[in-house]
Amino acid sequence: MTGLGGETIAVVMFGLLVLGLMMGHPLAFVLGGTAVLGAFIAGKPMVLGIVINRIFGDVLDNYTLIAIPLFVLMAQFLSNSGVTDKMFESLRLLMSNVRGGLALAVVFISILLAATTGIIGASITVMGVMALRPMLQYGYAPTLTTGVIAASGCLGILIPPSIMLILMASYSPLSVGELFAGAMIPGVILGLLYAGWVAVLAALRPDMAPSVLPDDMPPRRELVTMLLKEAVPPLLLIFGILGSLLAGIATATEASAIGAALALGIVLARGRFTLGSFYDALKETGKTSAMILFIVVGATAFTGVFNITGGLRATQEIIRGLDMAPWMLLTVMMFIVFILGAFLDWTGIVLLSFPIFLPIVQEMESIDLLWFVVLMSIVLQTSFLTPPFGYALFYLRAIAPKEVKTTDIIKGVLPFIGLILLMCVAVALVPGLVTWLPDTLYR
Amino acid sequence: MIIRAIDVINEVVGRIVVVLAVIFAGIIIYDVVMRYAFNAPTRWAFDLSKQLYGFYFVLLGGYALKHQSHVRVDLLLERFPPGVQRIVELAGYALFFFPFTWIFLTRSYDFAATSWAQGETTYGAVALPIYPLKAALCVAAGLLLIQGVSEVLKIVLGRREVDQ
Repeated sequence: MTGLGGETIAVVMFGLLVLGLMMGHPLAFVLGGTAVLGAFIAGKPMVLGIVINRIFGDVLDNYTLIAIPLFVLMAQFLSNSGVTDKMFESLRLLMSNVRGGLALAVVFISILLAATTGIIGASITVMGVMALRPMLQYGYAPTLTTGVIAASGCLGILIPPSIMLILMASYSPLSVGELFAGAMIPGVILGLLYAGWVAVLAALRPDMAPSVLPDDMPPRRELVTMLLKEAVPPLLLIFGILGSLLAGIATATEASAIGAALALGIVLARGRFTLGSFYDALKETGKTSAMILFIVVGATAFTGVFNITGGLRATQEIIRGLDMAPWMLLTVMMFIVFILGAFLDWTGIVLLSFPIFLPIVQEMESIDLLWFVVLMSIVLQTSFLTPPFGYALFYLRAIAPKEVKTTDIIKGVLPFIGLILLMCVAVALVPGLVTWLPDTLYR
Repeated sequence: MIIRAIDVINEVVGRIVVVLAVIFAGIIIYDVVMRYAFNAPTRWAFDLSKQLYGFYFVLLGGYALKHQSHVRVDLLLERFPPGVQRIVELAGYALFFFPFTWIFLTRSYDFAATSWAQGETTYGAVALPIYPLKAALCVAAGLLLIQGVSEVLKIVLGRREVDQ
């Protein structure tokens, strides 16, 4: 036992965390390595045995987390099925005489996709492949084009089903069902807010978002039929997964397994099944799941050591010592999450901030925990979009042609970050946006 | 030579283990069907699917490292000259990766050995042995550690081919 206090440990561990991230080392191992170094610096290497125990109990022996690989698998099958391609084509032709129609089609299809998959990346990749080049060709501004694809694509992790909400439920007293119900309305409103922004921009700056009349326009009736027919499989998935989950028929894990099976069914029904693409989907799912869950492992080690060595309590005392009004404290917490979002990915942020924030929030009688967690998940939407570390920016950079500058992409997402913050203010002022649906279903 | 051997081990393990996802998905669906259609839920699906999931992700850590799938912030790193980049990357492994995986390996070995000696099982209606999964934790740490060795050698020898 050495004399190192909790404050010192907190400073040292966060210092090492920042150092490791700057060095470009994978987040999972920076977290795990910091845990080991922290334990030795605190003079308590024996806590690491307890940490292994916690990794086993919290991450391996965890029924809820099975849903993460299965929802990832479902998304992989769904993008193999090509179900979105025709839907997007027909919607964009239908809206071709509307100003900004292409961008609006991106938003609407993304909302629908978000309600079928629980990850980002799936819809950004699909939309990037299908919409990016046509939009640029038809004279859409590169900033708007990249911004709308990146921002709408991120809705996948807010609108249920969402692997982020599953992880949040696993590390809080809330149930997956409650969180899904709570995030549903704000998620869809945020999507509509994006659409509204595109419409306003298209009206004010027609040069940025022109209307596009293609040469050979199929009859409208045909387009509507095609759109409705193509929308059936994703809608089935939505009802299958969310319906069974919210009605309390299936657990999140069961819903994810059913979802993966249904998505595979769609691939089969559309004659898109090949053994090669099936195996590729399995391999991609394995890599993505291992990546996410190893961050969970690393963060479990980090918070375990942080907790036992007194760093956690010291940090909480500092926050309590600020003695701020609840709304002010919440603003500070959300600001911290926002800043962390520029450097960490959501897995790390959830696992690091939950043990510090949630006990403090639970002490505040005027604050509903469910509302707090959903508010945080909305703020976390920015974590995909804020440089230097934003998943969505990386994805888009990878698929955008060279003429689109990285600064265009960053400028493009800025207004959408503004809209996300606006949504946070709305949820803060009208908590019913979050609580109404779960209250109706569960309480 | 060492690089190749290690890469092959993790690639083979990865390619086999990724298939487990289909198996635990199948078990969960089978259980749901039995419960609702036949009113006869299984007594083993819960524990078994949970264990398979544990084997699944933890054994894939090395495979994901081989394919550079673990997220990292490399924007700053890209700005350095290649020589500095390599030194910083190696320092990252020395400071964070190896201390973590070494402790992970040794502590999980003790953890698994205790469980193995006790013949620990689950508390479910059908008692499944737990020690294989705890042993898998140790094996996973080993796979991760050797893949780290391979990655470090690739950096030192300047032979990291883009292998996605």
